[in-house]
Amino acid sequence: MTKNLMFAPGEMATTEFLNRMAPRLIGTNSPSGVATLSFSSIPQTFKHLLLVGKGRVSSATIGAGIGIRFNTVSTANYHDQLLQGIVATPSAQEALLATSARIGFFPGTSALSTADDGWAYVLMPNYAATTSFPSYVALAGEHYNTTTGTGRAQHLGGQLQSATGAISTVTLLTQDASNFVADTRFDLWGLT
Amino acid sequence: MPTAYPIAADGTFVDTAFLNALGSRNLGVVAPASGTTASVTFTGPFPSSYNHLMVVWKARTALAAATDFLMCQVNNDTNSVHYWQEVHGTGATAVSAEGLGQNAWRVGAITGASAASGFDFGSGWLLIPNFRSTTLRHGFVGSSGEWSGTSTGNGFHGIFAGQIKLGVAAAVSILKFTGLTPANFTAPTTFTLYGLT
Repeated sequence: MTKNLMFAPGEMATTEFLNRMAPRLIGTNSPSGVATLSFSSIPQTFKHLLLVGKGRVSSATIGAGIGIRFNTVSTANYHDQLLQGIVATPSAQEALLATSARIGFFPGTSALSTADDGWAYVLMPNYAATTSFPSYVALAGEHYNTTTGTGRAQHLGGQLQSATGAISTVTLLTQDASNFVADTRFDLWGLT
Repeated sequence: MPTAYPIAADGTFVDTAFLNALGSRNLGVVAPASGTTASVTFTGPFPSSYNHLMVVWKARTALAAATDFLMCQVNNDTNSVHYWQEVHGTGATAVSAEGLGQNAWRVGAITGASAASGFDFGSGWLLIPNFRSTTLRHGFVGSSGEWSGTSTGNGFHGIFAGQIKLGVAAAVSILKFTGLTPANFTAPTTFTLYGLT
């Protein structure tokens, strides 16, 4: 005798219905004392990936850029484009053929408080496509002090230029080789 | 034996309405084959159990150019009621632009057929908050970008926003996506629509 899971009378609970509940957590990483972290063996069953990160780095500076790599490719094949506002000045930067692409900026030990951190929201649309370059768009920001010019709001975007293919591994790293510090956290979701 | 239905601890039925209230849900995916269509349309009415709409996309068109813009027309309104503003970075330059009284919003940057590689696509997302309102004019915010080559200035990444001005406010029920100069989309162009509670 087949037993079907039903919700209220007459409503079938199908896997198709449940699979369309988005987003779904794939994994969490809370790095401390390391310069890189990875989400690997990412299921290929979602439509898009969403990454949210918040943290600090051990740089004895105001901070460091946070980079992203796809599928463990660490060669100089990443482009990124940055748009940011600091005080009343908008600016833009690009990076061509770098070893990682930027997704944000986390404060270092020169921040006013050990509680000052940065954050990033990264979307990787259609990540499972095999005939386009892996790419992302991101929103990021940080405020490392209370004086003028110490906050930034950023829009970033980039892609891996050398290899197509579905994204199965996402690596985050500090671009100055410093370490992430405790309470840093990255969560990866799949959007169905 | 009576049918057993899942219930929460307080006796509430776990029904689709309950699950829909937990968050967001995929309302549809369109991934046209290359050369088959110059437009992608999501047609409602969209479920009233959601308050906001979000579209996530990756796209390229067959336009004979390196770059193209992704446009979004609301409710099949071809009148001059779509207003938009964008700011983007390209190379070392921050650029902004506006569109007044157009027949669609500029919602993102995508690549065309002349991009350096056949694998260069634009990608992005847009959010339409409170899409069911019939008293407030609808707007969107989103971000997007593309790389059409490997030389300086080939990147275009930025923030887009806009509103429907003029006319009677009605719930958003149709979203139609095209290139700026409509040309067929190229696979694996994909648009995904989500309802957010």
